[in-house]
Amino acid sequence: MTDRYAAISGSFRDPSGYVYFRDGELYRQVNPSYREEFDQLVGSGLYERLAGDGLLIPHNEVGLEYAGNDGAYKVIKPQRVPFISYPYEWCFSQLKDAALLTLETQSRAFDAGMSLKDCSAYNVQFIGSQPIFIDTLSFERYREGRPWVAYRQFCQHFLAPLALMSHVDVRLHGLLRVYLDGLPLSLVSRILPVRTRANFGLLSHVHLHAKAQERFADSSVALTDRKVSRMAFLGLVDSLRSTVNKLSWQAGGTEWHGYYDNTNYSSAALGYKQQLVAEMLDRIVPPPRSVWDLGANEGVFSRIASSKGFPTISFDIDPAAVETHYLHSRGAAHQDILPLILDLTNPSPGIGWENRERMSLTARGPADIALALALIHHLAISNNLPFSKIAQFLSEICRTLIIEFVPKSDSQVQKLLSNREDIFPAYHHEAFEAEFGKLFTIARREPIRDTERSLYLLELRS
Amino acid sequence: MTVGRKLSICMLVALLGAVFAAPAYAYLDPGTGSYIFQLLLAGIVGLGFVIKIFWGRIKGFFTRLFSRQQQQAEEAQDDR
Repeated sequence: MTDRYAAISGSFRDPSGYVYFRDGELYRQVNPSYREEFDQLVGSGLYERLAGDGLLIPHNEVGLEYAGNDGAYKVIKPQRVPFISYPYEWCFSQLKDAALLTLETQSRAFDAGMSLKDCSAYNVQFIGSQPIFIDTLSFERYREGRPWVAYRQFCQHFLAPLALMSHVDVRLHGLLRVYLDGLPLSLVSRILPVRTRANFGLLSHVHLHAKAQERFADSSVALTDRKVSRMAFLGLVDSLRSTVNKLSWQAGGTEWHGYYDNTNYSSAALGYKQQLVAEMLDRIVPPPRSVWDLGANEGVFSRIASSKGFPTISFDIDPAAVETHYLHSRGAAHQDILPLILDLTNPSPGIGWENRERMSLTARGPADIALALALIHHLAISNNLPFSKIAQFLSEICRTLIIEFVPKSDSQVQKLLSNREDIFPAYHHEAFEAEFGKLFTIARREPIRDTERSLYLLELRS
Repeated sequence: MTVGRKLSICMLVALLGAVFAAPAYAYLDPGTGSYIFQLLLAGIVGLGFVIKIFWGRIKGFFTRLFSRQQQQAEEAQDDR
């Protein structure tokens, strides 16, 4: 049976069905092998309850004429997630919320006689700052006595990285980019401090679990006929939930945290810059469907875009800034902002099978608008990137660019230059305009009052 | 030493005993360790879960009983 439409990245492993684009629309085929599970998901009312409460992505059933191949049982058209993000781009609380959402989904599934057959962190996405479970075909009928097949995956995808971020260093979330099927428990067990062995949940689900994996990895064992009772199953999920709940991390103490208290902006200048950004955003027709705020910090300017109804993705390199921003946005339901961790000098690449399973940042663009405020000096001076390279990259990820130029005379740039030789003779307005002018047209240029900086509205040349 | 810590250590001893005493018969995939571990662990946390629910019910019973008695006492006082 040939597929008329190719499976999208990350959707080719599951025999229950697959996700594909057809004429620009997203569909998901349900295969006959998943028939009984799908019927129970819908028939038991579980789908409706989960989707109704915002836990599971809603879908519409469409006709078989939209099928990806001839062997479809059903075809559904799920609601689109505006921007696909990955666990290695999430801050601590985003990963924790995704973990708790997964366990809540499991508990509700259990009440309806079903259970999750996998617990990949990639099954969770964010719409704005709200996590949502997107894998409609992850549910299977619960069979009395069977252990939870997703247990190992939950520990590796959620518990292990959260424990490392909480007990060792928050930057260890970067390991998720290396280990796509979750962190090896043996590695995590070695890195975690000894005191975590006094924590019942971490002792059992990470340390002893790792020991057991090592013990049986390469050996032969008898398949026992021991069963996991209903109560034991519930106990396992409850234990995971309380272990996750107890893990915490406080944002603070990093390079960028509290940035706005520590710049050379007077409140009047900051206010004026906000007004200019708002004016420039208003000028863009048609209204943008996506705004990427690059180097967003805690999101002061992202909120301007979002308050105009533009879905906004806010990238920052600092886990503490993203954490603070996420906690703020999560509490404000009307804001359509997704804060993510990203190092612009090393953005997320395409990874996994054929380098295509998880998309690169560029493959997820371009955005209608990018904001690059107080960013250029970090790229050009701290990272030795020539203007031509910066302009090239930005032209690949957006159609319209609002960018701030920060000249050498600015105190923030002076700070960057204070401990190094000034090897940047071409760092000035004229060179900036000349290089960006090759790829963009300058639609507007405004000096920012009370500063030596300028704000540009640039449009990509067609 | 807290009760939780004592419980952790008891569990460690019990589980390690079980993990390393398993007999060998057939080759299985690397996920086997997780599978077998879950069979062992689920029994323990399942028992904990039953106690937790049971304890919650006992506490709930006495809380309700106490608040009812208090309510009755207050009503009796109001009647005077």
